[in-house]
Amino acid sequence: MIDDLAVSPQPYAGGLKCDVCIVGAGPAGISLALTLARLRPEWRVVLLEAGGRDNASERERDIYRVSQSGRDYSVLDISRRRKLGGTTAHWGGWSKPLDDSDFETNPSWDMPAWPIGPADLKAYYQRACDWCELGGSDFEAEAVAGRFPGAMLEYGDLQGIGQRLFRFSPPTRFGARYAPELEAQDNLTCLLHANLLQLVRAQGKLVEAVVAPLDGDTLRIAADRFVLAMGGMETTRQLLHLRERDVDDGEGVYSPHLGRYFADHFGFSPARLLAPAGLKYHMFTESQERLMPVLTFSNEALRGEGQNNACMRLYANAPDPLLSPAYAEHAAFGFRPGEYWQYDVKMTVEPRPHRDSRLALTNERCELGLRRLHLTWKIDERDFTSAYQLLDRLGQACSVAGLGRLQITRENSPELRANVSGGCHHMGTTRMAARVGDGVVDPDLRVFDLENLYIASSSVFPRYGYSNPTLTIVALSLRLAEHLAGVSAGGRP
Amino acid sequence: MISRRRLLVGGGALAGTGLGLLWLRQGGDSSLPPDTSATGGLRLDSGLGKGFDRFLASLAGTDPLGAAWVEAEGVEHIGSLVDALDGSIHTAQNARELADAVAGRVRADFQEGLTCRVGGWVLSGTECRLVGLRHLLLRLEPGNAQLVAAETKVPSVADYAEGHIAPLANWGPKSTRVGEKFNVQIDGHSGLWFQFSGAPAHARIVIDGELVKTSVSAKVVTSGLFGEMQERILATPGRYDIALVDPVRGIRQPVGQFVVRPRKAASGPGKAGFCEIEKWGPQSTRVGLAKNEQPDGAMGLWVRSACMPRDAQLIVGDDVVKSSVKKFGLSAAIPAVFLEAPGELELVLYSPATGQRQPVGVLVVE
Ligand SMILES: Cc1cc2nc3c(=O)[nH]c(=O)nc-3n(C[C@H](O)[C@H](O)[C@H](O)COP(=O)(O)OP(=O)(O)OC[C@H]3O[C@@H](n4cnc5c(N)ncnc54)[C@H](O)[C@@H]3O)c2cc1C
Repeated sequence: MIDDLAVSPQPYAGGLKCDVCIVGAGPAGISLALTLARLRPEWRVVLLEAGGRDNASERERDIYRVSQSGRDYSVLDISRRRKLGGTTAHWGGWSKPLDDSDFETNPSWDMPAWPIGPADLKAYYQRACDWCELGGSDFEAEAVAGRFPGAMLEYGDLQGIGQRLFRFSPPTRFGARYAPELEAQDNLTCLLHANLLQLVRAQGKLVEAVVAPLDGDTLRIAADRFVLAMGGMETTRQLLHLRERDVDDGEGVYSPHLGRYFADHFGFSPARLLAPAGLKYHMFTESQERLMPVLTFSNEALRGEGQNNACMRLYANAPDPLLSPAYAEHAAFGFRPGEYWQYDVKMTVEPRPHRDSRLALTNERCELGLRRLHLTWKIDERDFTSAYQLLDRLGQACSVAGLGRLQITRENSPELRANVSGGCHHMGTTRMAARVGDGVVDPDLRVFDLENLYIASSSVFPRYGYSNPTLTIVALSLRLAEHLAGVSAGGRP
Repeated sequence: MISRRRLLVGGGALAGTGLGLLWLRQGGDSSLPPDTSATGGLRLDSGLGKGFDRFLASLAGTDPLGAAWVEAEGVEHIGSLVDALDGSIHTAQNARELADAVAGRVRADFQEGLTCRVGGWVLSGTECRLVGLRHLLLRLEPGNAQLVAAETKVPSVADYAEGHIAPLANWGPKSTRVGEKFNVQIDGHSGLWFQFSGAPAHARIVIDGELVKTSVSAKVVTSGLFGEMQERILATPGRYDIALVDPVRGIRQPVGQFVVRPRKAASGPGKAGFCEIEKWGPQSTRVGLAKNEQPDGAMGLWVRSACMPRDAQLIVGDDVVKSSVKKFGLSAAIPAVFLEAPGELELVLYSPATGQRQPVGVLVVE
């Protein structure tokens, strides 16, 4: 059932009791709440959402206002939504699991990566594809190469280069798409305009969530377990509020890692590639299926050289007259026969976890009484070096294979580094770790120092890859649903 | 101007390699007037023999690259370039072997990291030396200038004389709207048909001054908007000339104009206080592609209007995006993340001072 606290608060005036209280009805909260409610029909699940069905008002948007320093995070104001369905109200639908190597610790970085591996998420990724309506769950780039001859560069030809595949959600607007299912689920109550104001703690666990509509009375919700699914910034904001003392030398909410390692994927267009005509390293539609192969480092390079993971897309563009596509007619320069085009190369780069890139509380408060966030976004310069090494690798591989030449159109300069923008993916500030000293939540997504508080968000990512995060967020939420319900993968209670 | 003598200083080059040069040296007697029949009319004498000269001559279209490299490197001596060529190139016995040897050396250069940069292009050292050598040699003979220019000049169909090639009964489609492909073919291009009877097989269609893929049968010629050209034309309202050309006779037969109409504004015009919007663009793009890309990856968008309020902002969907009022109207940056899904983004101008809104139009993400 869905109820709106701004319209009919009366039935809840005396408070609510439930088995699990989930805060935030974006893709994380919705997929978690529905799965859990279905797995445990005898339980009562409450899903709290700050927004309503419509876009947030100016007043509501102001709650998200964040000050910033460091590099300009120019997408800040557009990077999240406060309404049922969360930020999927305007996401792009680009979907892909993390690459296997993304789960592994990069030996040249100073923080451990995921304490779980791709096998732990495999079954959940498959189901997440259904939630995101991808129309398929096969992410093998080789299969695409076989189905669309000429769309991709030939395998085996490109030393040091790998190829991967994105799929696309329609994009599913989780609010509109799953509202009927939320309505129909008897043991689930979704409350709109229920802003979380405070989490009340007693003896190592949470006991209550205090919520209120913007102009209305507060309501207390008691639960056995709580999940924060408020996106990669607000979730961290609430955890920072749980600190009763202003120290960060402990565990869980007192972890020195809480709020740190804020990351977003960043991108730029540094090059042009002369390569065979007709390559499809960009989104294309074929028999209703939307696909996008991308070029990456090979697994060997990622693992052996400790590179950042990054991907490259190609878009055919007008040629540079200095070296026209006809240049590839010179077989003596090693070119394979065929028609050639020039493509702009667009990159998306994995940032390494950066300790000083962080979210912190300020003393200014929003109208809910919550302290506002301050963002300091930082990117390690070596991340750019690695991205340019990937470009070099692509140029070298194509040149050696007789498949093209690379032109660097924008050098790795201070100007380029200063101007890159983020992809609205808020990751890293409540990182998952095997050891309490390395993160904020454990491999089951439980906050280390609180026995009944869990996090469902990209804020738990300890390593980021280049894949857009939502598919992984949903996969983690489905896994968390089973953990909370006490079932093993795909099973029943 | 570098003299031939200076260029050849250090030209003991060949001897230095101590290699066979059997085939390359054939006919390499520089006391005879150069025979240009095998070099496409180019006068070019490397001293390495006709075979090598023919090879260099065959590298058509590389002169700008050679010139840029020579200039950037400050290369003056042909000898030093020849010296640096790989032995296997010198010992080639015939044209085939020479081409293979060069290709092998080019590949090895890339493998060994022996590369050079010209205008940002990463090329093999051998490539740079060869195109550089070709450029220097061609420059020695003023008579080459015209031929070299012709090599790199994109044949301008605009220069063709107007004339009649074949009778045209009808053609179509004749128009579309911004962002809307038409008669979409399996490879994604928008198809155009022309009922020409008896057009010669080599005839080609020219759209907006560019030759495009054309297929000719007895009664119909088909062509269309392909690749980058399709994007560019469909993004910009206007009239685009179409012609049939006969490259053999150098004749151009005008067909008509293909019209790309602007998209309709999302809703009616705004209240007084905003002037009429004259033009805006780009009006369409592809998923993941920011046209008119800004340093932060956003798409630069312009709105032309004679009296833009000083506080005007651009709203995309529900979000105010970075914009600034200019002499011509307003420029704005559409964040790249807004271009991730196909669809239509409604653009509205907003003046916070007066609260007035002015619809601009719809940006199509294909
Ligand atoms: C323009 C844009 C394009 C994007 N494109 C892609 C893409 O192509 N692919 C991809 O994978 N990702 C994309 N993303 C990111 C994607 O939207 C997020 O990864 C995803 O929505 C995160 O899901 P979530 O459930 O963790 O958080 P959200 O979707 O942000 O949901 C959090 C919910 O919590 C609620 N909330 C916040 N504070 C409170 C509170 N105090 N009390 C109660 N509720 C609260 C919010 O109202 C919201 O509904 C894009 C984002 C943007 C902005």
